[in-house]
Amino acid sequence: MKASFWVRLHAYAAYALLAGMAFALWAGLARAQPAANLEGAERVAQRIFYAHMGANVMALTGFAVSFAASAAYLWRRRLGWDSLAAAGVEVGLMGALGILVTGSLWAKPTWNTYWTWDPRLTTTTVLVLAYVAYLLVRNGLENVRTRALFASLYALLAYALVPITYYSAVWFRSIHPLMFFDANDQAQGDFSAALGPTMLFALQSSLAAFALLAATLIVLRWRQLRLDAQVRTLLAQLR
Amino acid sequence: MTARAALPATPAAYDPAQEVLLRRPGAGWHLCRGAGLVLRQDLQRETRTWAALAPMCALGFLVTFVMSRAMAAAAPPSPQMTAGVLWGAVLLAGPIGLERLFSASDRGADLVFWLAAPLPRTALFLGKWLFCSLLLLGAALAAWLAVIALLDAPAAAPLRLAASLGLGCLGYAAVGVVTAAMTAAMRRQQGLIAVVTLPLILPLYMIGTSLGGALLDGAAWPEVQPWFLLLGLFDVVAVVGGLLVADHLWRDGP
Repeated sequence: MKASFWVRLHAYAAYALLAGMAFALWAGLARAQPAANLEGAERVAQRIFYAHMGANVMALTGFAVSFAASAAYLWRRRLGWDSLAAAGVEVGLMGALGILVTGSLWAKPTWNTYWTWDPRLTTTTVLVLAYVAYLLVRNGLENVRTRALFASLYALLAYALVPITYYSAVWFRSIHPLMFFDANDQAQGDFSAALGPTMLFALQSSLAAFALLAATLIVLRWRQLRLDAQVRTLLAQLR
Repeated sequence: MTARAALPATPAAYDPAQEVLLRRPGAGWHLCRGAGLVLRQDLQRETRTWAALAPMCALGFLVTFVMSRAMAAAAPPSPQMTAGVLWGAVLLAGPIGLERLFSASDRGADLVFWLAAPLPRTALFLGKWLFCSLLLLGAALAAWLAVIALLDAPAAAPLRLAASLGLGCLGYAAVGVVTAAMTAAMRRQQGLIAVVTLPLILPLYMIGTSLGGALLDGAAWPEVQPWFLLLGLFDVVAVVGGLLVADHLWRDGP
């Protein structure tokens, strides 16, 4: 059976978005220069920064979408909002895992260890665990309405960890650098002072690329979950 | 209408219009009385069997024992480590009590009755929250005694340490009642409650460990005051959030 025009258009749009993301990421990294104030392996590893910040944007986008969609579900009680929240959490979780992986790889040359009990690292891991628990809550409930209700409530609770994760480097004694809104005097491997126009362009390209990727994946997954729900409803009617 | 008249002797179907009671004069008393009834029933059941508090205290002691055994070979533990063991014991003992709050064996006689009664859902939340807080306080006390005995913890600022544990238990219980109500509706709830609750409680653990470490180290009040404020803030957010979602939690019924 031939796919309808709109389905094909949607698939082409998704491919175009992914290609755009790949191009933006390549353009950013191709122009990226190593930080002037760093040396040796630290200077090379610093380029992980672009993917690390991109993963941050992806996680924040996903979790923010899940928060807004969960609040919208509690207000309007439409299952489409719940599907959007689930898609946001899944994509945000991918981004958060990306943060931990790229952060660990970057930490080895900078802090001489893959893992340290820094408050920022600890709270990020807690954030990941909370959203894994969100998926477990969804998986454990059979009734669609109950699942949507409890998952929405849990998503609202879990989102409280997002600002805690960000400000953990300010409130507690941390060696994690802060790029935006604030500064950390005790940070190790900080190069925000050396962030010139070229690095800024690379950073902006990377952030735009990852935001695009997050948006595309959320929309694709959202549609998939909605189709899944429709198929389940049809099957239930046939039985 | 008196508070006694507002609570009929026989269970009735849940009517959302009963929530209007909260806006009438005397609604606060009605709410408190409802919460008190829930608390009294839970306490009566608990004091008959000690089914929740006894295993919680035992686990709190066991965690402290295992952790102190693990640290025995090293130098005397720092105040921060001692506080970490204390809060860790409370944290891990909590899910036992939370599982008992809405466990399947009690659901038929307890929760369904309360859901059928003309009682505001917020009163049910408040009653369960108070009961869970008492359970956690008991477990915290057992863990504290174990920490003093096994880790030779200094008895510095006992009142402040007790206050910090009390505040922590209030916040833990508020989050725990919400997650326990959620997991009660799950098909495989055993063990899940810890996985669902603990990530939300870990900020409390971080704050409590920092505060406990400072208190055991003999820190002055201005040094620990911000940590107390953070604990209080966590409690306020957790309790207000729980009260706001209480009506949603039991609207469909577990």
